[in-house]
Amino acid sequence: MPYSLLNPLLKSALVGLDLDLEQELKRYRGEDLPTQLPVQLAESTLDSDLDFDVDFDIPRSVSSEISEWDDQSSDLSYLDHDFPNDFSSALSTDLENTLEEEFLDLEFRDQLLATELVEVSPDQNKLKYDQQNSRNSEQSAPNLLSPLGIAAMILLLISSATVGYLLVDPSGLNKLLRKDPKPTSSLQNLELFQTNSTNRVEQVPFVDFSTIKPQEKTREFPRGLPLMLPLIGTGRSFEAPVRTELEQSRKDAIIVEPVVASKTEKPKLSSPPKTDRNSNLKLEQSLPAIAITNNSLPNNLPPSPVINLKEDIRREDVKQVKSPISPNQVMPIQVNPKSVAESNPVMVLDATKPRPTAVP
Amino acid sequence: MVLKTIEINHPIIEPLLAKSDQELLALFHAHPDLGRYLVVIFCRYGQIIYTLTRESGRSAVEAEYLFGKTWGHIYRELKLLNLEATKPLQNFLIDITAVAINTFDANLDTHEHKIKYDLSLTPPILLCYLNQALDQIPKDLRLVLTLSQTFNWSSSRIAAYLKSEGELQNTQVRRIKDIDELISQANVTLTQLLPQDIQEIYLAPNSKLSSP
Repeated sequence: MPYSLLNPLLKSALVGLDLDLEQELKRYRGEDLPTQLPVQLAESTLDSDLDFDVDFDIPRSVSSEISEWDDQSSDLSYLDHDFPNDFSSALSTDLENTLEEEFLDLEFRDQLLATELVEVSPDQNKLKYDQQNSRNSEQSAPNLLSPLGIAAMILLLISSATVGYLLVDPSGLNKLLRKDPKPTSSLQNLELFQTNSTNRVEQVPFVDFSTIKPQEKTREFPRGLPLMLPLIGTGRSFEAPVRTELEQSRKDAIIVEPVVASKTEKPKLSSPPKTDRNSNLKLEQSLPAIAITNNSLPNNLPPSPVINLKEDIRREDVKQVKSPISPNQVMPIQVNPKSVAESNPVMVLDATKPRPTAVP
Repeated sequence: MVLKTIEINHPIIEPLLAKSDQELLALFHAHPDLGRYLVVIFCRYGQIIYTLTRESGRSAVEAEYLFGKTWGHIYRELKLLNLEATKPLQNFLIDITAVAINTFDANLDTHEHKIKYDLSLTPPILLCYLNQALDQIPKDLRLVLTLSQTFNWSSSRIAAYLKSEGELQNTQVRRIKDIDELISQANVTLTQLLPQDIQEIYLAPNSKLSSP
């Protein structure tokens, strides 16, 4: 038996081979060449200086070419020879043919490997990559100079400026989004914002008196304004009082009544008030100084009554005269000396007579 | 997890154990028809690679299969190795082991149900040179040899298959006797394609490995 010639260790090694039946049959047919080593190993972390003389997967088209090549060579070989009846001679010729075919296969595979190695070589890949990059850069360079590229660059600049402005002043986004009838520049907006933020201006509500209803006019007003309110409401113009005549002022006297709160309090007369020359109360002669001491008044003297101008002075004694002064100023009051003297006999100041001196 | 390297006691291997890695690599490249230098490298670094494959979280069968495949990768890469610009041999072997493990993981589904490798019966170095010899053997001899030994086809089945195929290509193989003769021829050719020292180390009648 020929099997007995096989070494047991070799036989066990053959039994344990990791082979695929389909691949073996295809290999016999010449359809496909088995892969000895995956490409992954050739591209592994080994030294880059290694020569990657590795078996690669050959495409099916190439393998079909090889099979056709094999068929042609085998056909040609068998055309030259008649089929021998002797098995050994036939086997020997067949072996020669198959060896030639294998040799041709090896040559072809070497060529394929050489081409594959050129592609796999990292230097070559780098060169190809550089060339492709240079081509891409050459192709992309004129695109930047085209109008579309320039427009894109301008758009990019504007957008970057906008983003930068919003980063500096985030509140500007609200101003930009707000629909403002008066278009203002961003700089003015910024100034306005700063002034408003520093000086807080209280906006006074606008009151349109022509449109409001009459019952709404009873709202509270500041002091002094009620005097003007009837005039404003009726629409009449305000007539200022007339200036008093000098002679009338001479005739009329102003009663200055010192109010004594208690007996212990020392009444003290100060110097007469200095009035302006234009004043209605201007006196031509200076009033005599009144010196009041504690002994000046008798002890049995009854206290002088307090004069209430609003009650004691009769309405007809007070005349309102036209005067150019404003209503805010003190209006002059003309007092009838007779009525005053009747009501208060203590002291009557007459401008025409010299002032009495204080009785010691 | 200790790897038994029986080759280390072989008279061909023992004198080479004192040589450095560079010398071994140089001799390996200078004498491609000899397998002893690879055997020395295997004796020196086999344990490291075996540990790496066993500790990668696999079963013992898968680890041994991966170990054998890794040495196949190493053998092919060592033939292409540039001796002048290379890193230490140990690092180189570890890198190749890592690549082999990754490749095995990527194709794990295809390997799951067809692992027939037994490390105790087939030394990895013998497997490397056996695969090389199978690549060099004529395709019809390879076919009958693998069909008969690896796939356990009978001679009649092989003859029938070759007959069907032979009508298209080769009509010389027609009988079962022819098939047996062809298998015998394949055995002889395969053995002759193995390096001489590998035959002496592993297949010699007096070798410890030849009779497992």
